[in-house]
Amino acid sequence: MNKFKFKFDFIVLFALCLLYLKYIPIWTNEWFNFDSFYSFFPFLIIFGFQFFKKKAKKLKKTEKNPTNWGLLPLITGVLIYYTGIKADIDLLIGLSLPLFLSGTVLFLYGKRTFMIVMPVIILFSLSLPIIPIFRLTTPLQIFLADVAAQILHFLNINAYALGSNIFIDKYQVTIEAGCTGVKSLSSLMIVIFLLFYFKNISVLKKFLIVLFSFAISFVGNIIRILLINFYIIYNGIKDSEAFHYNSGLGIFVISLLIILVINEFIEEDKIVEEYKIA
Amino acid sequence: MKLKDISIILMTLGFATIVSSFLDFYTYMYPVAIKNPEWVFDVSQRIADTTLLPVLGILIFLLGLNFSNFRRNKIITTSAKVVFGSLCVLFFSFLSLNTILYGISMKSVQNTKIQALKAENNNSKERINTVYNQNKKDIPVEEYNIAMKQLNDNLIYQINYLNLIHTKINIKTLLTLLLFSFVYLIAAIKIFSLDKLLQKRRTLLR
Repeated sequence: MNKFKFKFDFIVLFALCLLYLKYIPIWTNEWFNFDSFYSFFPFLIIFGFQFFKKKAKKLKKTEKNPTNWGLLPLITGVLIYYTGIKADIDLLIGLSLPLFLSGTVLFLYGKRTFMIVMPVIILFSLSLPIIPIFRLTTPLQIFLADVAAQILHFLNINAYALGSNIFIDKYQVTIEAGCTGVKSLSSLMIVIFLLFYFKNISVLKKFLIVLFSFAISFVGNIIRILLINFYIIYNGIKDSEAFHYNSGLGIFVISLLIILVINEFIEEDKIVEEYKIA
Repeated sequence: MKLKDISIILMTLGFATIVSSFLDFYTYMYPVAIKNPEWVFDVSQRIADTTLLPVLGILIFLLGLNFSNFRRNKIITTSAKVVFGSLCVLFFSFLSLNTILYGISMKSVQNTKIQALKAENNNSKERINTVYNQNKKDIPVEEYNIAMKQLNDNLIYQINYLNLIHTKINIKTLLTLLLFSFVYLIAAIKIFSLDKLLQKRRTLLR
């Protein structure tokens, strides 16, 4: 029976690969393109590897109780996939994949195994390059341009914002979708997830860290926009594109280092608590 | 004299060092003229020269705290840990950003100075030309050519010298800022894990 199921897993995987064969090259391109919002995928591979390494024993011990409830997401997935194919909507086709995965796990292994592997399925679903993130960033672009212009004004620099444009003296800086920080935020969130998921700290603390990383990413992005503006004020528009790219990496590293320091603080709390118990 | 007696002196000294370093930073920065790259260039160098003071102050204060009876007071030690740890994180962010700002201002400052040298050189050339045109009969062409060559050589020498000086200053300042930003990062980690270190010490003493 086990042998049959083992083979059956591969049949399901093969079927899924066939269903999404057309999208695999497009998704792979997005996953491994550093300039893309979904470039956090390599981190996800590390997370998946670490996850199954840590949970291997637990998964083996978990009793298999296949449930027919798995058919519900499976059938819904098929319907969404069929609608997506007929209507030629990539979003629907992409959305059907998490449903297929969830349904397969529920149908073959049951609820307990599904609850264990749920973080991997959720993260994998989020990594599917189907959501048009850049269409959703316009309000953020306008807000960031306004905030940056106000800070520059506070620093005695003649700057004002119009829409997503900042005007400084004779220069015009446009806050594009990529400048809103959604790309660095996605990578930062996944790295934080990687760092803190396996830590033995309370869920509340994990939640606070995620909130903190949101705040730090937002502030870091405003600082990045200001730095680009200063670069243009000091050196002109020439080479500012290269600086724009490198400053993103720099701010990402600084944000990550700050979160690592916070990690030390959290670890410390845990040790003190252990010491108190002892 | 016991260690406990000097603890209060150490704590006061540490606190005074931190406050004085803040005042120093304030005087360097005020009035803020961040639009001017030369201001960023000068202020960053001054900050790089005095960036040791706050971390030194924090260390002296924590040393004093460790010798004093306050170390047994959980509220005081936790507050000190949070305040100084956060201060170190702030300094780390500040110095990292200062490094980037210095990096983007240095090229502009150097170019401005080179342009000033060239303008001065052109001015001298124009003056020589005027004198030469007025007294063409009395001044031989060779002498005029020699003067022009000297001016050109002088300009090249001055630019090379300026580049050399700037390279030295830039390397020194950038390295100091970068190094100290990491010093503050490590200090923050160490301060936040102060109890861990103390616990290790207790275990060793047992």
